[in-house]
Amino acid sequence: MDITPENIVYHELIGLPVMVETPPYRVSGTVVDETKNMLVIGTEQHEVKVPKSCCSFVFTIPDGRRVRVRGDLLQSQPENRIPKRKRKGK
Amino acid sequence: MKRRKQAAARKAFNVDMAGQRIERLFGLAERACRDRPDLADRYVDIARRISMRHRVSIPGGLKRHVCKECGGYMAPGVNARVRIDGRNVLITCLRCGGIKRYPYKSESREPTGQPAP
Repeated sequence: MDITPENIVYHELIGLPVMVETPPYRVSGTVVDETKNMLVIGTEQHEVKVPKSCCSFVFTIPDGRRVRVRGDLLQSQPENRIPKRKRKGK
Repeated sequence: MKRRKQAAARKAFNVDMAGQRIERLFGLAERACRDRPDLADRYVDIARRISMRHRVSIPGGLKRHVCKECGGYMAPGVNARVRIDGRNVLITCLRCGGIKRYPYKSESREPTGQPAP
């Protein structure tokens, strides 16, 4: 089972190409690191820290599909993101 | 009964997801270890946290890439040295100097005792 639109919220985000849609943070690049409240996105020039809570992200999963994810669904430490299966809505 | 089945299914999902994430993180660490060793260490740290949080063991082949002393990612030829001493595989972390020993069975030796009369 690879990364799919259904399980992307519980899967590993590091390494995925991402685009941030929310206005003050319009960046696109690759996810380099993740904390509880931030995604670190590596662009061509530098790394940008983007808050998860107020942003909407479009991830490109390995099979080429693009998935829009609400940032508040990702708001958790990377290792604690798996068990939260009851949350819905992407 | 139904609840127990649901809990088992959830646990299986979590274990599967944790295993996939651990493998993915080690793959990323391998790619990052030459240019960004700090990121490689960070990925290994996350993989270890996932492994401990969900009680999923890191596969044996990948575990050899983690330094038990400093917690960093070890890549042979980049920041780790691999030697054998006849009994053990010795993996030395070149950043902290920590050594891990993996004993192995050598091939059956020639009998050294005196020949029977």
